[in-house]
Amino acid sequence: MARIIPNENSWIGFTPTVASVSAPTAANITAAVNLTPYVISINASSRGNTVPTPSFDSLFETSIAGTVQATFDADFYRDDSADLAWATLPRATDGFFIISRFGGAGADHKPIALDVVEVWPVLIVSRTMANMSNNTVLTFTASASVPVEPVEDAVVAA
Amino acid sequence: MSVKKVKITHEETGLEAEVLETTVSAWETAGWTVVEDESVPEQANPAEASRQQLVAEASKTKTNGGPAAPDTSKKE
Repeated sequence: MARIIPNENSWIGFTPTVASVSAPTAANITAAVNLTPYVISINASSRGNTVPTPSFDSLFETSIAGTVQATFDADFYRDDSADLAWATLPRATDGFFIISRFGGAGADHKPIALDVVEVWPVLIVSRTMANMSNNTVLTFTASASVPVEPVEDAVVAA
Repeated sequence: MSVKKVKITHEETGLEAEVLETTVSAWETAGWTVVEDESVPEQANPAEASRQQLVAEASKTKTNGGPAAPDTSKKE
């Protein structure tokens, strides 16, 4: 057990299909495009909303659980010879991001059966280049809607 | 805006999927190939299809004495 950074640990893939959001198969991951070398940052987060329920008989303002929403944005490098991330994620692309934050047990940290991964169903809504500026590497941001509830603790099936 | 999709299959796993035609080159790097002669019919904008369905239903209602269908003619 240790505190780690994503470099040389995490694995990020994008696949057009999964057997189940809660249990992608090893085949689904084998068939994924490996975007790990292109990722700069990923913001895949869900947020719960609370509904205030104050009442006149108390100074304490109570609340109850409301809806939950999720957002997905990621920054990637462009590449003048193998522009894989850019080519994979044009606007209107739908698919599933497979995120293994601690890395899987397979080659190059690829998840295999029984590894725990996050599965984020997404629909790319924009693919935006970062500002072009002097002495700065070319990058872009992919923003996505999350049409299906993501699973943050999916276990890879055989 | 129409979105043209094609069927692809993954050689190693036998999986099949539909992807945007413009992304085929990316999927090929992961072992996918296009299924020949099985391109998915061009899909019209779902919102537009839904709108057209609503207009058609409204037109039927109109013949039954209901409210008039909305004017959908495009203005130049």
